[in-house]
Amino acid sequence: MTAPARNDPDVVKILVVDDHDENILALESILSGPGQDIVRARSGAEALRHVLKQDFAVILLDVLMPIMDGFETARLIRSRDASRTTPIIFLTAAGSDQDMVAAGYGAGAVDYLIKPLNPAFVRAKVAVFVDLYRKTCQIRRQEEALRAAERDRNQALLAGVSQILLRSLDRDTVVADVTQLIAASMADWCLIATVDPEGDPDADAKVSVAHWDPSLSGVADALSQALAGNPAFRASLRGGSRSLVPSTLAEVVERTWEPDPDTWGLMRRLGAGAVMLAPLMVRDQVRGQMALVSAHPTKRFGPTDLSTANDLAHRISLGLENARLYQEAQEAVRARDEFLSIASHELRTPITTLQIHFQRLIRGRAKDVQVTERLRHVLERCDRQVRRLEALIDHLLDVSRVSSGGLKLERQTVDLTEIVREVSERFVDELNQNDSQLVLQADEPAPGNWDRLRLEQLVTNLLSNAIKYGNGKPIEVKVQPTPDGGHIEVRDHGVGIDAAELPRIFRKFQRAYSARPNGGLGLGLYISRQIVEAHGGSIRVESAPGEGSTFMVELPRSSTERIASVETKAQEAQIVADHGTA
Amino acid sequence: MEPREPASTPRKTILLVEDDLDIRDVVQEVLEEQGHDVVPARTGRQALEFLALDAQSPPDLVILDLMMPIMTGWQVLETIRRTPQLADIPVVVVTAATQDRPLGAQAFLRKPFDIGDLLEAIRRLPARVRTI
Repeated sequence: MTAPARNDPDVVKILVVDDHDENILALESILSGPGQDIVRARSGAEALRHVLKQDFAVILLDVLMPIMDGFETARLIRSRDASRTTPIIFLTAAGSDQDMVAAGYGAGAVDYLIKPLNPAFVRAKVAVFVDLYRKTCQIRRQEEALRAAERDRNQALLAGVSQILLRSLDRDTVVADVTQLIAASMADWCLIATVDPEGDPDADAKVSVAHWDPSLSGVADALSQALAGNPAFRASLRGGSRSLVPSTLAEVVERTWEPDPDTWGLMRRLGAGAVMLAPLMVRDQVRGQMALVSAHPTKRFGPTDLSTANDLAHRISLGLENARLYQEAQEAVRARDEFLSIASHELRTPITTLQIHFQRLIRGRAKDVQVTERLRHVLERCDRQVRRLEALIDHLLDVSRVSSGGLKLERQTVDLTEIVREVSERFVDELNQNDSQLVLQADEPAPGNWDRLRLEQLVTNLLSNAIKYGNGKPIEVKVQPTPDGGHIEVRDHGVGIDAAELPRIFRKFQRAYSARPNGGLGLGLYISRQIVEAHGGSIRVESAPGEGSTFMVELPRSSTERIASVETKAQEAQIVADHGTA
Repeated sequence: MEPREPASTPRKTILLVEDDLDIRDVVQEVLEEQGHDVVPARTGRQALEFLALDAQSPPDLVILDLMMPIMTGWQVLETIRRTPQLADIPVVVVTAATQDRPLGAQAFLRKPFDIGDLLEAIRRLPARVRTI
């Protein structure tokens, strides 16, 4: 396509071709004026060179020239795309015969000027073509601007759709927002319909319809409902075309499925003109259709629109697939948490009975049962194992709690130093069994507003890890107040952690030495991190293989919690009754 | 752990609602050793039937499991709090469920629990409570 804009749009060029200088000069003096630039050529070859480089409003071409005459020159000008439509006026001497005139028209002349030239005549004839040229240029410029605006609009639309797809992973929100945006931008109304690839083929399709005019939103909703429940429409979604089809709504509807008069009526109320129907495809599978519909019967979508619609369909398909996968993952997590919750309930029930019986036997409270020292010793071991089971169940449950809504803290004023000291004492037996030693540095109180049970759990996790991986070497535990709260440090001199493993150890189900049967579920450090972060604190580790590990915890005294839920201790366990009432 | 010796508690009539036979039996045994009268119930419905029959002389205290077939502990708790003759009976909820303490329960223990904690809660609960 020629770009007329390669000339200054306000100056019109006229090419004058004549082998006689005096003729050129004469024409120049007749035609020169504001806004008209006269370009001279003394031969056909020179004329062709000019025509290649620029556009002319009109060409005045002498018929009789040596080497290449006017007719030959005209044919060559006509043979080039750029100058195929440029008007050519032949200049010829008086008395030329009719055959020659006919040959001139055949070569592409639009008119003749007879020498000697009448200036008024020349000006009038040329002016007609100059004027025509200006108008053509103007129309082209308008078209160009229109196309540019269209491109801009479509670019903005694509950007907008991408943003919606990034913003949300909820399928219904995404589709509703996208149809609305498209209807407001490149079509009068937009329809997006999808089927669940793994779902029941008889289940309703998900259909979203939006019209740019809010007063028609009721009609749009009614249409989406009518289509969602229509089996023929649903079938057309899966079997539809695999590439974008520009058509009219009537044609598409007739070809794919026959709507009842009511549904067709709703479509007509939204406007049933040209349509671009694009399949929504994921991995070669048709998952739905997108229709962009124009309400105007005469409107046709252009190539820019088609490519934009194609692009839109691709992006929306990907976005919807992302949303679907995300939802699937969410559901899997929900199912896991629900399972864990039920499993832990089921596991706790038998443990309850076991524990009560062990306690009663150990304390010598069971009726008619004589407990010897030896039996008591065995029972104590059984009881300890039951408590271990209980702790494992707690871990499992903590994981599901953390992922389904977070840890709830029951904050009260507690002394971190005292907690660390208490928990350390509980490890005396285990340390003895491992021939290990614990060096505790816990002198200054470190008070703060924390959840006592959770911090006990944290310290327990860190200590049992240190013992587990400490190789029987001394374990150093330090706790001290800081300006903002408290600091705990647990150092062992055991196996240490490989640098490559370090980033993983605070994640779920990860154990640095998973090949070694060390017991535990690999949840301790994950839960520890959750406890610390729920308190607004941080936990980190320094370690080298063979040299041991140091875990460091910083706890802010009271904080802006990540999961804001403060309950008091009293609510959980004890009694909130009114003692005054009889 | 040293057994906690509960201070002597006035004799109470306790409705024990628990679907697990083994837990119910051992808790009943312990409570009876402490001198309480225990009425066991296997389901929420059984518990409510007893409460309805005995509305004239309701129990002094209810020990209530939450997750039970036929009728859950939450439903029992709600009925107790809604019924004027029952509304001031203290309720100890004992559950293996992961939920938070339900509204309307005066004490809350998670399974597995220390039997000493249960006796302590029974001892500390007043004879009658003002309902929420």
